[in-house]
Amino acid sequence: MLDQKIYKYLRGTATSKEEKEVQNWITASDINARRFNLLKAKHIASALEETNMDLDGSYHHIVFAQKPSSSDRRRFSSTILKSVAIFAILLVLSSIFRDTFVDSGAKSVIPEDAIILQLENGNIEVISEEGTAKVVDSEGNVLGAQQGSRLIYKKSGAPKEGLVYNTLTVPYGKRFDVLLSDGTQVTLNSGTSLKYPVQFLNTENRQVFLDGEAFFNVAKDTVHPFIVNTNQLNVRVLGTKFNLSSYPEDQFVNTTLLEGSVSVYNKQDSFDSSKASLLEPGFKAEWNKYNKQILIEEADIAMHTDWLNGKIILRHVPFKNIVKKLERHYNVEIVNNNPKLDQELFTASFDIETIDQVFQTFNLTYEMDYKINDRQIIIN
Amino acid sequence: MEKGQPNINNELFLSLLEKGGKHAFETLFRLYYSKLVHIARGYLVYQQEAENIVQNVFLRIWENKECLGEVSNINSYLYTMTKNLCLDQLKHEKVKRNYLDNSYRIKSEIQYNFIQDEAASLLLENELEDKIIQSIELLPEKCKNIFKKSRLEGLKHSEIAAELGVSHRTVDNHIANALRHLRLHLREFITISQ
Repeated sequence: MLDQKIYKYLRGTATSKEEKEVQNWITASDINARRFNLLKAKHIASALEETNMDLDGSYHHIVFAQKPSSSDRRRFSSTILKSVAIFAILLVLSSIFRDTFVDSGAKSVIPEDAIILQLENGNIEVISEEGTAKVVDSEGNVLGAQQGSRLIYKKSGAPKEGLVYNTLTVPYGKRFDVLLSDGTQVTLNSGTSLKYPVQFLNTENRQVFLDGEAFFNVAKDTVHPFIVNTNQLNVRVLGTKFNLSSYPEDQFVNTTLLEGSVSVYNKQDSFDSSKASLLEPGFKAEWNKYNKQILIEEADIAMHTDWLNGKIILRHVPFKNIVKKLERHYNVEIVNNNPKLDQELFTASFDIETIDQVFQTFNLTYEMDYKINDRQIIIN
Repeated sequence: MEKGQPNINNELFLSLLEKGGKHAFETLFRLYYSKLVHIARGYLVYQQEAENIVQNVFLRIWENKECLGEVSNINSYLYTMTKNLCLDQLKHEKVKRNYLDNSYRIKSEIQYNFIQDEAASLLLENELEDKIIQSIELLPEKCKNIFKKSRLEGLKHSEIAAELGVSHRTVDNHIANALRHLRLHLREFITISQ
């Protein structure tokens, strides 16, 4: 086995076929395994200096975990205040950083195209669409189970202790359903993550946290409003069907209502029915992240919900907004070096087309010079 | 390494840690944290746990600081503790996932074999110590000197200022610079100074 191939495997850039090949070679003999181990140690050692982490945040995390003695406490209080401020700033910066540059290090071992369920204790379960998975509580009681492309939580009484959250993350190119314990059904679009309590409390509103796009069919419960928290905007409902798209990289947060009624309000304000924007069926609320304005207008429902059927519908959409949609839907990377194209409007609808055919279609109305290399598409 | 040069294993530094010196602890943290996380990532099948594990290592060090007197090599101590916690994590995951998927089983077998390979371990441990010493040695001369006196030997800033005949403020600045370099991980610094 060539060292090159092993290094490729170690860097996580091997294809799954190459990966298997290397793994078979390693497990074939002790000598191979030892050689691999040494190469791996060298590989790790060679990158020891390149680690770049948020030391301050982690440090304070540890310092805060300790209980200062009472005599220490007074001396530390102002330091702690300062640290908290610094920590908060770092947190904001690091989240901006994360949004802009996808963290490659931490994710490389979990396959990128895996659907991931993160449990309250931070453990990660990889969900394979053909497989079965279970969510259990600390006492081993089953709280949820997977059936194909669906995760179902048990309907049951209020939890004994506080809220326990799970986070479901769906990669580009896939979709997934989750049925929450209150009976609310959520379909997650590609590149989306949803954080939700395994069981809702009887004493509180139902709250979930969305990053990406999802279609909600909220179970009716007039006593416990259902609130979807996004980065900047909250959507509050009692029981309805609506689509909410809030990808961090998009300029707009779109809430499109099919049935019932929803209120949309700035996350920074607490809910106030006189200030929140109320939406009627067939309308959408478009929140502009930059100027923080809400625009309510009649919606093209199909365009906002046809992703549920695996379709992409575009009506007069500028190319720059299409790029992200395609990347998510087809799990590809699109590099556009032609800025003029960004403003071109396209109208089209795709469902079973391959990404190849999609670009051929675009090419009919706007001639573009593009090249498709496996998962990357370059437009010049 | 020259004999008599203060380094992370010198008795003064260990006794500072043992006495619960916040500065000493922070220094150890800045020097080691991201490197240990990097190593932990190499040991685990699923890397998300790496930071947790290393934070635990530092928590334990802090909580058991009174016992650090028995430690003769802090580098080896940190490395071994990280490795052991990673091994625990692998075992824990194995129990959880054993029946779930085959590709996990192969990966975990390979990771097990790696973490238990003495030669690979030793190479990593030594390399880690070299890199830590380098990261101090590569500081600019004055800065390094002051950093060692303050952080590794525990001299007060005023004592260093008096000994070197510089102002208190100069000492402060050098320490701040040194910490910033440790944070930036020297890579940037090396390219600047060349």
